[in-house]
Amino acid sequence: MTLQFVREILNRKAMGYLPGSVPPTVLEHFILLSVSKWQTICLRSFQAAERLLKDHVMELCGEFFGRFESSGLLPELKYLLTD
Amino acid sequence: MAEEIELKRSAVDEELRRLPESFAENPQVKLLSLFDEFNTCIKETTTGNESRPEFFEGLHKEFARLSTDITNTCPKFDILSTNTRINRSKKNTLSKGSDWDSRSSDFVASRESLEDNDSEYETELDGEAIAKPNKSSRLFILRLTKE
Repeated sequence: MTLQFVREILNRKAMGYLPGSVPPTVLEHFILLSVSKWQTICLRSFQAAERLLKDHVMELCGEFFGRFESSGLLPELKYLLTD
Repeated sequence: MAEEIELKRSAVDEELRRLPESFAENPQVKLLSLFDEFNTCIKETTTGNESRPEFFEGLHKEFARLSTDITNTCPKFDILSTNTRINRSKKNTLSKGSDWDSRSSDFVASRESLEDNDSEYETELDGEAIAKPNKSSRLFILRLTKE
């Protein structure tokens, strides 16, 4: 981000304000500029956590219901989890 | 001979103990209690209980990456050093005769042009731009001080 860009934003958004004061609209603009990038990052992190949790639950399923494989309970549970 | 038989018997008993619980008697209640146990285990895992820390241990790396990625979104300001500025502005003047670098739209201007253009960022100290009030704000301040 260049100083020219910052100045352009200030000139565009600081109309009608006293010189030297930074209006909240400018601050909001720069905050939103950073925060708008968070969605992708958070979604990626959420997906990673979900994958890890699913793997862990799969392991627990095997541990608890491994003996019910032939009866079809374990495959049913795994199907529900992968769906 | 008797000792051998005794050893083998204890081994068989041990294996029998390891066998899963039989569901022959009252299978419904036993299956329900197994599900209950499974649910408790999932709850302990997702709430980060001390007895089951595997899930949160696995997430530790992910949390660190999330923290780094979020921190990296903070605005980074390109503030050029005085030498770079002067060199770039010289290049611009030679190549295009313009004070502003139109290719990269970077804040590149010679000291004279900045003064002429009544810039807010006129000078620089240790690589940091120092904001200076423009002509209109200077007049405003002067008026205030006179009053």
